[in-house]
Amino acid sequence: MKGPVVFVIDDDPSVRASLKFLISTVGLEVETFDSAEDFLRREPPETASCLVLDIRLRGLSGLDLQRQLAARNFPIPIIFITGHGDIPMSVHAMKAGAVEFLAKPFRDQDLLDAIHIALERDRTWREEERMVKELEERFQSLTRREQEVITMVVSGMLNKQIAARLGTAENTVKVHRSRAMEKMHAQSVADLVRMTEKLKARLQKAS
Amino acid sequence: MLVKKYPARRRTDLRWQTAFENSAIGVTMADFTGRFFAANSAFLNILGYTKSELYQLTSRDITYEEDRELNQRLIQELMDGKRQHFELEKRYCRKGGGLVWVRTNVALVPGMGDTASFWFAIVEDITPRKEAQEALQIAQAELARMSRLTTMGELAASIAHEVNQPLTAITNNSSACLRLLADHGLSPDLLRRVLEEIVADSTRAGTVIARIRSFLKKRPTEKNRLDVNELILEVLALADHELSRNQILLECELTKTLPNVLGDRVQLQQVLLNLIINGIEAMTTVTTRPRILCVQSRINELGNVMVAVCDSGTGLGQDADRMFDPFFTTKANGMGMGLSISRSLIEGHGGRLWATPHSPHGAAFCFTLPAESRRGS
Repeated sequence: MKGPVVFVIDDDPSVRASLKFLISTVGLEVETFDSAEDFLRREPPETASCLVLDIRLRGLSGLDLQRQLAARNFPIPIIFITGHGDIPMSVHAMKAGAVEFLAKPFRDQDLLDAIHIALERDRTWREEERMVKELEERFQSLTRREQEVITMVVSGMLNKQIAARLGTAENTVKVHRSRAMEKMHAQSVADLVRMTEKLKARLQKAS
Repeated sequence: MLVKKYPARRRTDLRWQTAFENSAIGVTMADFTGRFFAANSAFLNILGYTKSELYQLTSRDITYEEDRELNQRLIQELMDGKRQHFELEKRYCRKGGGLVWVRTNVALVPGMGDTASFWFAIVEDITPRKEAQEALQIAQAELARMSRLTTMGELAASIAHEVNQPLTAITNNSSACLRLLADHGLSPDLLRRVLEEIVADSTRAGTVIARIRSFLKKRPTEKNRLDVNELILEVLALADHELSRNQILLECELTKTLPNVLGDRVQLQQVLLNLIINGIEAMTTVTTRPRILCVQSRINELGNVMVAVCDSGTGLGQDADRMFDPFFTTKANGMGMGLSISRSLIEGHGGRLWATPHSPHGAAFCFTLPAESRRGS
């Protein structure tokens, strides 16, 4: 898997180049853009990434971009940098989920720490995302009857009750149940409950 | 030829004809398509055409492009009987180029017998008035711009931003070099390249500072003969809105026989505006006594011009010594440059600027300007 990428958007060429240089000293890959529009034209990254974003840009502002990315369901962590120590703006940005808000010029360590946190946050998010996706695939690989059975198992019903509800033998339920557990890679009912919680959260988010 | 169509009373016609010809205001007639068939010399003078040239043209031809639509609409309303006449300020294109502003008063004269209806227009050249208006607008815009600079807010923001960018780049580049040095990963080539960038950014920051400095002080001061009272009245007109918005009573005590001073009009306006706005702001919290701003001009004991701007505000307090220092401010969104700049501008004119307590309340800011030395005196 490729290493993490830091995206830098600033309309000042000197600032942009210096940020690229500074961030690359800790071995991170850096891509720079001079406008928010330019960044939006790029394909969403496959690897862990974060955004170092100037608040004031020509065209779309940093805050506009933050809003657009949220609307596109592209939750890349953002570190805002600004030449104006604008408090209402920073409050706004932080409330909308920014990792950090740094006034130019900032200490190198402050920026690098923020980038570290941002990449960590993105990694966690991607890991979570990957797991949920895998769970979804596993769940989709179950037969309809297996899905029915484990849904009832998770809701706390006993095999006997499930058999009665479905009008089959208890042994048949046991077979469905163990096959479904196997396909879901679930070690225990508790495990299965955790998995379905995750799936449910995802379904709620999607709807 | 129009005259010929009206057969009766030739003597009256002749009198009218003479009045028409000699009128100082342009008079013209056009048929319903807008083609001219009569015009007096005043009208021809406005446009620069000869009679025969004009008669080849229609009203539309000589109306400036941007004004045509409105003109046409009004004419249409005349034709439709929606109105008897109209008045319009518009531009004509003169022969050989150039525009002229006119006020036209157009009426429809209904047809009679074998005479078709026609337009009758009285046209007055208002170019000088329009030019004066435009000059006034430009002056107002200039003063508005100046007043923004006086409050320094915008300048402060732009300084902060323009200096911040290269500073940020310098900080980033230097920090990165220090990091690489610690890891023994800094090649001389890379170091050279980064140092060059640092120098370039430092130069850039320096240029910003130099530009601001030259804007604030070093700009060659234009020395014109100025009437300080006139200057005061101009600035008060500009501050009028602020004064009424803050319910401030203005008292003006101007000494009529003031000598002229030599100075830069814009700079002195800046100083005055700054002092007046400071005075206004010092009174915003005053509610138990009248808010009075008093502007005085007089001749001091040395024969120089002295101006005082007094308020009934909160007074100078303990900061009286420091308020002329750069970046000293008591205002939430001030930059603390107003008085510092004002003082250097006045000193640049050979005068002095100081503050004293004003009795019974408030503060007085006074400045002097040397009187223009008159030949022989």
